[in-house]
Amino acid sequence: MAAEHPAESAGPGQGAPSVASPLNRIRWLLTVVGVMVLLTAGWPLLNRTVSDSRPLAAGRSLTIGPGGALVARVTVGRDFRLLPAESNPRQQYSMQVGPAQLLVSSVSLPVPTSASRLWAGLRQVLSLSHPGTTLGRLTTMTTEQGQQGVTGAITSTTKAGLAAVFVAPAGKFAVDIVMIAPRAAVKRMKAAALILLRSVTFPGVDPVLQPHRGAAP
Amino acid sequence: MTASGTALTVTESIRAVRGTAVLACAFGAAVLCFAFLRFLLVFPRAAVLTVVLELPLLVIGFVVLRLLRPVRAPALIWSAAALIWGGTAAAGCALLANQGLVGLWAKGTGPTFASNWSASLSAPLNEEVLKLCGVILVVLAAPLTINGPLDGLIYGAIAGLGFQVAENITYGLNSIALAGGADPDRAVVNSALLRVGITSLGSHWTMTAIAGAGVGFFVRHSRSPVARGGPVGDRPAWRAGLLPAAVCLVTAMAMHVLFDAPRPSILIKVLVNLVLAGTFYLLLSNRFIERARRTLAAETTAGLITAAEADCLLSRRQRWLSRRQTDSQPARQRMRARQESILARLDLDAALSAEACRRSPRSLNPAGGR
Repeated sequence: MAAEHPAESAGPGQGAPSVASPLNRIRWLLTVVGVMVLLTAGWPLLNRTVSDSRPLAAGRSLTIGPGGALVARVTVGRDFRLLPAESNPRQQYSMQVGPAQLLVSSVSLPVPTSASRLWAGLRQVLSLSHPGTTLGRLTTMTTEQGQQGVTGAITSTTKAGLAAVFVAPAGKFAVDIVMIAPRAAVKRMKAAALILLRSVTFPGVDPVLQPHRGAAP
Repeated sequence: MTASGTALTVTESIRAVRGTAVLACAFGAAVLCFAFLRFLLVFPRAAVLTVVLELPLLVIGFVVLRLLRPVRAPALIWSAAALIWGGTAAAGCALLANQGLVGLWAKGTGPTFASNWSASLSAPLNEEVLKLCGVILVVLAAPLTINGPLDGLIYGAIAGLGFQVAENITYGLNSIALAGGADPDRAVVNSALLRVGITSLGSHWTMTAIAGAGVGFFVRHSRSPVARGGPVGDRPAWRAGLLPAAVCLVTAMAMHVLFDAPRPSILIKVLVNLVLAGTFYLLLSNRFIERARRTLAAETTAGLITAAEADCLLSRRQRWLSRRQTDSQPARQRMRARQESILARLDLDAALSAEACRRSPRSLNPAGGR
């Protein structure tokens, strides 16, 4: 078959630059593909071989949020385990309690937003991460420190759980908490999740504002 | 080798490269769709808005980067191929690779260290290599398209731009969830303002431009007269090209480390990357034009082209004006074809080493003059 490019048909003595021979081209192609496969599959496979679960001592506090005044603190109960690969203190903590999955997410709000509006947003965000789940009616709840929030039940065909939203008093920062467990274990797990829910505080907030003066649900 | 045992032809090998590149792009696009398609279902308006907000960067960036190549723009089809590679194959594979490596950092060092440093310790390695694979594939799929560092820089910048746009879209979509889903439109607008308005000037396109220039250095070295037989044909020339290529890749990675590091401020990071890429571009561009002028002067002396032709060839506008001065459409087309032919010779010249450039200009013209 004729070469596609003039320079390829030109011999070394004819002054045109040489290009890769077919075999060299295939070698380079295999090298490129090999490097891509190594990075794309190698890191995830290696990641899977390392355990992603760290026990958390009962009563340990975790701080979440971008920093400054925009942080919240939650305290874990017994048998909580942290999943470091899915956790980032600025954005989210992913935890396990028995068979339950527990997510604590920070929410940065460009403008003050009410908890009820965030509840509607959480319903949509949940349908992204957990398709098929529905978020029930919200009810208000108060933490041990007097911080007001909203909570409600999560249901799907195989799983159930609860969700909660707490808005910081200035209304520009919030935390979403979601606990999902197999239906059979949900009652037991709810008790564990409630320990965490009731511990929510916003330590970066001016003490004069906290508690009870946050955005109303 | 083919199935029948006969030697692989050039066309077959090129077809294999192109087919593999298409498959890689399809894979990357599938990965991105799998990861982000639900945003389109749950937040349709915000998802469309995210894409629309990136279109100006995509279009203007693509046009400007192609215009940055002196004398004439790189081939449209291969420019588009580099852009698509960056936005699909590189971005999709990087999503998986980064998830794996960031997870390893988090498990090994804990979430606090990882939240500050895992991005800057993972993305440069994965993303710079994956973007650069697109530039290498252009070299393999389209011989004589990348002939030197300047071509590599332009194609690298375009591949980086494609990656940057895809990444901006993923960041925009993720910002919806980070803002609690309460005001998705505002979340994606804020994300676009930051990533298109501020960081886009010194983001992926600058890094891959530097790394791509390295591929161009490698190609030039490997095609020098002593390296007959292709990029891996002659060991000494092949090795000589590795050093500048490696230096460029490491520089690009270092720029990326800085860009993803928690400090200094984003404006400083953008400025550093922009100045590095801009300075490198100006150096290569000036060298390219100087070499082109020398070649044209030699061709004029040898009587291969006229002085009037040499005067207008290096400027897009001057070439256009000279064509406008001709009387008829066929004459214009003939003049355009001749200009393209001479410019193609200039590109071939750029493919040769400085040593080759000192040879007779007639040797650059195997067809034999006018």
